[in-house]
Amino acid sequence: MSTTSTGESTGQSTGQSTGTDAVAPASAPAASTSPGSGPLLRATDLVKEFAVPGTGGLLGRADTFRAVDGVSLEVRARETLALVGESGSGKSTTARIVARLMDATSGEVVFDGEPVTRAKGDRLRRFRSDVQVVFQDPYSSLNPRHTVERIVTAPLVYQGREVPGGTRAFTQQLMERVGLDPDHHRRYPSQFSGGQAQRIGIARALAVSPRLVVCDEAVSALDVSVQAQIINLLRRLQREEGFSYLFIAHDLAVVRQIADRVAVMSQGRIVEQGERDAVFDDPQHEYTRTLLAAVPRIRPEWERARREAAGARAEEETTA
Amino acid sequence: MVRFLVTRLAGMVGVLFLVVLFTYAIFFALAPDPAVQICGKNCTPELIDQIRTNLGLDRPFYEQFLGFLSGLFVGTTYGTGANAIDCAAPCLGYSFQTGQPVLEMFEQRFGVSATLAVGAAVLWLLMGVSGGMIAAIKKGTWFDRAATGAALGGVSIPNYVLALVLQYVLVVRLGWLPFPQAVPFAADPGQWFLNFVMPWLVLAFTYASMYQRLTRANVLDTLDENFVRTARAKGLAPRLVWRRHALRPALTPVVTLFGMDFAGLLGGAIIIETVFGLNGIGKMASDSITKNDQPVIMGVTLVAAFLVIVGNVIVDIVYTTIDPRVRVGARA
Amino acid sequence: MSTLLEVEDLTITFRTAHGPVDVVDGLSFTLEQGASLGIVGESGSGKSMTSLAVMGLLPPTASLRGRVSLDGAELTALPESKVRRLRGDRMSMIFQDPLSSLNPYYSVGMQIEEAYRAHRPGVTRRQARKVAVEAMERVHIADAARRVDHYPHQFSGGMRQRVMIAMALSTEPDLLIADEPTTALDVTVQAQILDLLQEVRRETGTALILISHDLAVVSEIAEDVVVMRHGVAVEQAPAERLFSDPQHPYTRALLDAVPRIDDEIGELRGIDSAAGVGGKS
Repeated sequence: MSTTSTGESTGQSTGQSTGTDAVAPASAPAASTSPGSGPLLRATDLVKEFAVPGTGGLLGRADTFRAVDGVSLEVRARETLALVGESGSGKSTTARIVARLMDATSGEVVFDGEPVTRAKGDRLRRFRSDVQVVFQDPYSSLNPRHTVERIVTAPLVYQGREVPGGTRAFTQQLMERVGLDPDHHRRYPSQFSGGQAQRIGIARALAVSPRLVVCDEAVSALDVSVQAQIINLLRRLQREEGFSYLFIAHDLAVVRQIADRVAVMSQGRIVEQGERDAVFDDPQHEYTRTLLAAVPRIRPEWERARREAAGARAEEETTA
Repeated sequence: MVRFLVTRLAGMVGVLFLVVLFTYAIFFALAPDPAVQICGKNCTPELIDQIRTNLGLDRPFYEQFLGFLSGLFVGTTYGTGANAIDCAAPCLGYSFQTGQPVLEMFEQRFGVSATLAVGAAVLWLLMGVSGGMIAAIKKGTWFDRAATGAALGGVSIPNYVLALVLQYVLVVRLGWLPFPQAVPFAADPGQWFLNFVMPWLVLAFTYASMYQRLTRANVLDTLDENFVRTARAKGLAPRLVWRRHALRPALTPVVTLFGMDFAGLLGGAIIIETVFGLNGIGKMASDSITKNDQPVIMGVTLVAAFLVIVGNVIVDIVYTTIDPRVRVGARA
Repeated sequence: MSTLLEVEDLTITFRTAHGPVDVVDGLSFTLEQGASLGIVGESGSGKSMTSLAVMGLLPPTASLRGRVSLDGAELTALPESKVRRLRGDRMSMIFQDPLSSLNPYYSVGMQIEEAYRAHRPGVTRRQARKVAVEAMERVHIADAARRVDHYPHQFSGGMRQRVMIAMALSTEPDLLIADEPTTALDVTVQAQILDLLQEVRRETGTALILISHDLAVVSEIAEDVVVMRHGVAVEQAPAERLFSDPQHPYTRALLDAVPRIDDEIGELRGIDSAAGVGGKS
């Protein structure tokens, strides 16, 4: 298995060991993705058709339905694009097509100027080191029989790349960056709480220094308090590393916290797209308005009173 | 629904055709020359050739195969002239060793195999399914452990070992049952019945063990289902919760499995019939293998395959009537 | 207003391989006739176990201490056969996942009828069917007379939950317990179901216990709120007081952690359960 060519040909440092300094997974290089030099990822007119089960057979072809029906979107460098919708909207399918976990029926995906829709072999492997996915349920998306160390170094191993600094050091550094106790590197996912297990998933995505991380409902299965921590973590990592997020979610409140731009999907189509505040404060499409109106809210007057009380308490403490 | 049936039936015909073709091809390629067998001891090469021409054994494969196929529908005549043998449709072949059309041999022996299958089925359903249900209800108790242990034994012990042990214990040592003797039903119903007791027991025990394990596992799974929790939350009497909500979903897979097992068993239980000397289709199969009576082996293979395939299709259809989710064409 | 439900010092203990574990510890609250109570907590808080204890549906590995009284009758002291008569009749429950909570082998009509007939022995099948259709109409299922013979898989998620509500209300119970009724549903459907619950309460005067991890949902529905954490009620108060002036540090931290749709607060405050309460991630 060649270990050098795939790493070097992308033109980015893959964190190969350069000596005794602790080598963390290298941050995205400043070179090729300065803002404004074209989007990092562009998807054009994606269509995905599925056969309807139960129809078709000997006497004819099966009926098809379009889970994704002409979706076009862009993710720019260092930004978070949230893809929002209810079940059946096609957001997860779109994310999978973008991450090349599924093939589109038609349409194009272009990453950093290179078409990747039908990439295979080496090209696909390079793509996989640029685009990673964090899934919803860590307990089912992480192999329960693998230790954290194995899980986190797996992407590098599968891509035939060297693990900088050795697997143990590499794992422990990553664990620290995502807020896990590095002494637990030999543990199994089931020995972690939900939030911690999700951090393992994030660490795994970071191992190859991706430029785009697709978060497929990455915080939806977490408790509220833990959700907040993970959202903070994701934001911090983005600030530090400079990668982009394609953030799939159904929870608009969560999206509000993390997105720069928002695309609203319904029945396989994007019905509204724009800057986050514009979409939230001044929704144009009927469906977006319905969606926003349906979100349960704590009464603003209660919120205000609570924050005032908290503020007053904080002042007391500082003056005390 | 019609489309589903048509598709299935077409598939069934397709599979049967392939089975026939494959089996025929194997025998054509591998089996010893039937002409030699028919010829017997005082054979000369000229005689062999003559027989082969008579029987059409010198024709190319596809011709013989098509001949066989057409025989299934309209019958065949073997040979010509005074020695011609008529084989009425559906002609499964003609056994030159026994001098009978294979179909006739089937008809003579089917009753025994059917009796064996039906009796064993009743026993194993009673023992296996109820054993599994009770073991699940009383999970962890002595009954559960005993039943599950016995089931494990039944699945592990080869049935011929069990058959011989049972014969030794029940007939030789305890004398509770007489030695099995071939006796037609009309002549001595009592003895006829007793002949079957041990085979029934042995066959049933093996299957009952499988069914006990399956039923127990299914019932335990179903008891954990949310809809059973809902049924309890509605305040239904426990018996009702059991019968209506837990058992019915749990037994559905058991019923369908039974359909296939029973269909397969109708094709003969080779080992049991041989060990107990029952003159059924299974014994016919095992005898014909040792005697290398090709047409019979072919016939048995075909019939067994046919029964299994038909059983499969019936089970699929039954399943759609039982489980509303599987019904084709049921859309909101 | 009289007290409908009284829970006093409820402790639920599970026998596990590692010894006995208390999943609920010393919980007390009351619910008036026709009122609504929200029980809020994260996973492992014991909120679902509490509702199962009230209904008497705890698994055999659990043991219960304390008292639960419904309309004066002490449920915890009654034999199972008597509790069963109240279950589904005076108090009903709906669950989180309506697809797995309905038996796929029977029509929805049959399952509603069954709930009704279990507690009205003299009723004929015709009458029960009429009740089922009316129940479905009350929860706004269109074409109820025809759809009553349909199977659960033929309904969408929101419709199925309506069926569950119809089933729970067919016996006109005094108390309806809803355990995460909208968690598995889309947000627009969730809003409809919550509206439906409010409407039903207005029309029938049924008391409601709503269990949820979603504080915003609880704030819209509940008049009183209990906040649970690790089996203990850390705070109980009328909704307005709880949300505008929470007292307990955990409640405060929880409210801080809820992402807001109205605006971005900046860093969300996470709760580190190991270290205690509050603080950033």
